[in-house]
Amino acid sequence: MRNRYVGKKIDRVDARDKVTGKALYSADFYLEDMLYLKVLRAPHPHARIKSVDVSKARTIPGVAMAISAKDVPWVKNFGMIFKDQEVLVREKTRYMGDALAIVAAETETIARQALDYIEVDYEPLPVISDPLKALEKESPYIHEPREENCDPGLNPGNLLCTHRLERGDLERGFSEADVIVENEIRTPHIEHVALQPEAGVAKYDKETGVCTMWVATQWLHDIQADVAQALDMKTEQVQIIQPAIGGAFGKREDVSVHIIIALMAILTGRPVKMEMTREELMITQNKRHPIIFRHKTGVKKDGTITAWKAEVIGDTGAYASTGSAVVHQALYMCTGPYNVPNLSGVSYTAYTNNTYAGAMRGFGATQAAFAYETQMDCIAAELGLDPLEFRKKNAYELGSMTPNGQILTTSVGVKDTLEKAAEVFGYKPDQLSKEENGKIRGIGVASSMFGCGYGEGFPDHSIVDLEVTDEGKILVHSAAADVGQGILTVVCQIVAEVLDIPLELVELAPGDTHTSKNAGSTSATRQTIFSGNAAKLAAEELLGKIYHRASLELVKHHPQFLVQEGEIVLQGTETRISLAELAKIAREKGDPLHAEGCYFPRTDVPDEATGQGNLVYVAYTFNTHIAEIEIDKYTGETRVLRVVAVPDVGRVINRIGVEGQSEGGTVMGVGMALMEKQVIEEGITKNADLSTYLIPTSLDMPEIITEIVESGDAAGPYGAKGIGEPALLPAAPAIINAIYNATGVRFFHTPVTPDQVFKAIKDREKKNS
Amino acid sequence: MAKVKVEFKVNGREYSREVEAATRLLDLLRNELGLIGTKEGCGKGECGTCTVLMDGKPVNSCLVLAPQANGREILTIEGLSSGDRLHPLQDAFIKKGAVQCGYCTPGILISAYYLLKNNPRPNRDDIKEGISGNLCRCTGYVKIIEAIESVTEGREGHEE
Repeated sequence: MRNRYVGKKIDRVDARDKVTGKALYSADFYLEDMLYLKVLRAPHPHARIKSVDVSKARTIPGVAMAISAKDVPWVKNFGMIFKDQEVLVREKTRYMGDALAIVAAETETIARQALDYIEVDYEPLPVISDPLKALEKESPYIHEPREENCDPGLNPGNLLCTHRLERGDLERGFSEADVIVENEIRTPHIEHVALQPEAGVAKYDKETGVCTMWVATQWLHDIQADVAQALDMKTEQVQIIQPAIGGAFGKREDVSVHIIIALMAILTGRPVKMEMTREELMITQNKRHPIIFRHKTGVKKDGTITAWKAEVIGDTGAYASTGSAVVHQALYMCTGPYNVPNLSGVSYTAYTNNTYAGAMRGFGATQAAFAYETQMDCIAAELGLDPLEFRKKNAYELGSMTPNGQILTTSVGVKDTLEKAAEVFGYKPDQLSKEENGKIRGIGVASSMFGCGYGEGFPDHSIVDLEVTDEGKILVHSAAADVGQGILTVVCQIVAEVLDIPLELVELAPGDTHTSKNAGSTSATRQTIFSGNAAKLAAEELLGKIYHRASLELVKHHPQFLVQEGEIVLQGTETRISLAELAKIAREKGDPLHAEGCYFPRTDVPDEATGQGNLVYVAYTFNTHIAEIEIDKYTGETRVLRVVAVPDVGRVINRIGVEGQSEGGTVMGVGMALMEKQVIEEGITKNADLSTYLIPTSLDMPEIITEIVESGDAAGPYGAKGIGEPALLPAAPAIINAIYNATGVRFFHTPVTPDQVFKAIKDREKKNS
Repeated sequence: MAKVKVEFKVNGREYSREVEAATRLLDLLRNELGLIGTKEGCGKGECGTCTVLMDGKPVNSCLVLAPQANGREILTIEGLSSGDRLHPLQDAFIKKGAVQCGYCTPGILISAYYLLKNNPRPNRDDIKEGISGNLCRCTGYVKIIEAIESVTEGREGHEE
């Protein structure tokens, strides 16, 4: 069957509003009589708070309210998995982003100035910014100790959790190996740099007791629940209306301004607005976890992997956020898309006094991909094998087993991505670096895997609701957050595809906790699979209802109809009835044309001791990159010239969307490889702005060629799987492997900066001379 | 703080406002005139999100004080289209998939508009240079560059 919309290049449904400046983001909402909020953050990353005195701030003209923790003793802690974060700090600060006081004032300037009049008396405590030190038993506790949960010998106040992977016989595996390669690989704090800073507007209706907010989130209903429990409200008393979202990349999975704006709208009785500054959000909001990987791999001379031992230590900073899940995902993906018969791994998630870490594009799998692709490249070099051939030899195929013990039965395109990438790039085995006029060129390969959806037995699902309006349009209610990736366009495409109607007939209601049901999070590369499937199921149910109603009204057998272009046509006759008319009749007869679809697949909770399960994720996306770089010998500067990106997405829904994700992910990987690190020393960020924390500009981007592999049989609609996070995974390791290819110098960290490359080239020249 | 009178033209329309001397042009546009298409990304002139044209030249409106705009002419994203008719650049951004989250889009469109006004036949490097003051975290710039390229002189879709 030929598709009408699926697989095509489709204009985004929200693009027109975005190019005309009409799209409304959180900060674009202005309510009458609105107060502006500012927050006083911690004076020290780890300090006992003796007192917070807001009395002087209250006397500043234009200040409507100033509060500290003692004014709101009833407010509860929040957090996505562990409720370990305080809205206003009571006894001690754990990082520089902790909130000590909130001011509400008539203007933003007054609110900001009033912060200077708040007096804080505190006693500094020792700061722990190294996760290895945090895990030592003697280190001071950052949180209350939880002995029951702690490995003996580790720190019960700073170890958040431990996860394990065990399969096969590690000892035997290593004894079968000809070569054993051991490396320690590290990744830093990275900032999302979504272009839109965190902001929100809230109002409280005393009559109904409902607090309504316009604020970005990746997961409407989860934030709703967290706000409600923190403020001791019923869930339905918190209404979140989703505005346009200016990028997310994981940043907006966490609470930022949400609880504060709701609290202050309730306390002041007036609408409130809060906008974080770039500096404030870089210090306060979640980061990509820095992770240390200790990999030991056994391999035979012919390149067969026999055993792999992994130790993974993640720094989740002051609060857990999603840290426990991020670090264990780094462990669960630790060997990449390669067959490993004997495997043993452990991961530790540690609290420190650094800015807390949470979700960021890839969610641990990005750090893992850098580590295993560095390790794979080292092994290939050690064995004298071509890096691409070595990967192909070990790559998954149907029937392969993931680190979690899941046997892959569908959509395993990893070998295809490696082969396609080689073909498009013009890759030749054993390619050596080329030097000309002080410029050295190199080529690097990396592949990757990503488990789509929350998996692991989490009750992950999405609900999409459709109704036929009086105008004969299909109104979609979905809470799926479109953070820029284009899920709402995908949902509309699928509805139009199933109903065989023009895309223009599909309309979107804004995501709203009160008019749409849980769509789950825009994370884990899950929305195309989850909300895409839910949309398809809903549209199919609606189509069935349309046939049913039409056959009743026209007194004909349903196979005699066709539903097309918004009409029900009696075949071979002039008789037709519009969807609008049919909807009206259906509503009058008490059976409106309304349908709901829910996709709720079952997955298994992996065994705690071994991390093994049968069906851990609903699908895996694979992606291979080949990068060509050029290094200036005299400055150490690395330029990425060309990247061939070959993701296996199962089936393309919106081609322009998949390409856009691949290109954006690749350039984010250029930043990760060569530029990006939030420098946090002793808990204090040294580069909290965009002239000291650099991301790629248009002058840093390489030529990017995306070729898509469609294995076509994945769990998503029409055989699709996700692309958002996997798009990034192989980019940084491919670039850093290319630096090795160019210079013969191996870097075991990101970012690799010009000074490091320059020094490495010099050291190598000295050694060789 | 002392109030200052600002009389200026925005998107062809005359405005007169009394503002505090330290008000930024960005805030005047957004908070006073309701032109919320211009966005704030960093407040420090680093990201280009708030780019507008002042007397035909691109500025970061977060770094311009409102009184500095007195007697000047400003072009914001709202002034790029005329009624329902989109500027060819806006059309191209939709067709080429140059928009994802859309937050950088108004600023980039203004930079691209300025580029083409001054150089109707830019090559790829000129385009990269022309938008290098505008950060985008979603697209990797590929489709933005393709969109701008598609409306350069001698290409399909060009209308001016």
